[in-house]
Amino acid sequence: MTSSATLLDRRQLKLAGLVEHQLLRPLAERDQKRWLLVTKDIETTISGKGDPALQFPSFDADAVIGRFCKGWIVSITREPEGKADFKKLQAHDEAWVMNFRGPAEGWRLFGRFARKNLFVGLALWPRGDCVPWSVYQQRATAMISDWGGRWTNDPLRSNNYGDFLSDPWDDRDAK
Amino acid sequence: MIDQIRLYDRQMTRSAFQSLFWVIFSARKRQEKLTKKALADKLGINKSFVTRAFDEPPNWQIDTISDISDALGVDLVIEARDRATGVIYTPSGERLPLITSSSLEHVQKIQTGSTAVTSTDGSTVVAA
Repeated sequence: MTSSATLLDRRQLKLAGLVEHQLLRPLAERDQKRWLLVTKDIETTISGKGDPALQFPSFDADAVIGRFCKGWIVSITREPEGKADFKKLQAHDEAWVMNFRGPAEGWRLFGRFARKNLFVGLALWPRGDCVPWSVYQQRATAMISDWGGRWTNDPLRSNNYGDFLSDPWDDRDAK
Repeated sequence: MIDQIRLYDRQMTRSAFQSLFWVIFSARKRQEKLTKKALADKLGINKSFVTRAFDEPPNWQIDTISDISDALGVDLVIEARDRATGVIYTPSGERLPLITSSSLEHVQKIQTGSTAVTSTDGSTVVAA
């Protein structure tokens, strides 16, 4: 069941200061099927305009974002040890993580779906700063608090992946 | 930076085939109860190859792409779109693109004075 009472849209998110990530190869409007909005700090980092030591921009990260934004296949898991493009954390109220295998050891973008095909990234952490699992959970809790401090609007809530993502997507746990 | 763009382009090209075949496989699964094992059998390969192919964007050879297309019962239609002009290139030639009003201004800048603009089915067509 989907809750869609007061969902944020792109315009509202941009008015709140969030920005669309600029991919290494910018997308034509006609090719975009899904959207990623992030804070300006996160965009500074992943677009490579921040600390060069972080090794962004990265084809690894942008390929995940690119597949997502183009409406191509993305994978999802709920398993703590599962490997997929997205992880939905079961112990939290709509906490999602977009996984980047690179640069370096990998990065985790914590966020929520504002509505179908609209992912809002609010916290970016190196993979190594998200272990052990208790720390990973703390990052998710902090992201949810951040959302609550920014908006009174609910995130998209559902138990069905198809409510979050247009096809195609791959439920890695279904195998 | 250039290397990252090149690597990104390669990864996205791999992903395009992976996503395409996933969509077709999903349709065949729905329509004909096709399984990964049955697809692997059609290809004469191990099922793990098919599973891996859908787990990570693979660097397939063109022959493999052709074989998978055949096994899934589809013909590939190859097109390339000029990043600057939107012109579509196909193995049999080129054609002008169907464009939206938002890209019309850009295309008009690069077209010559012989360009004519007509609308069909809600799309704006630019034709020389």
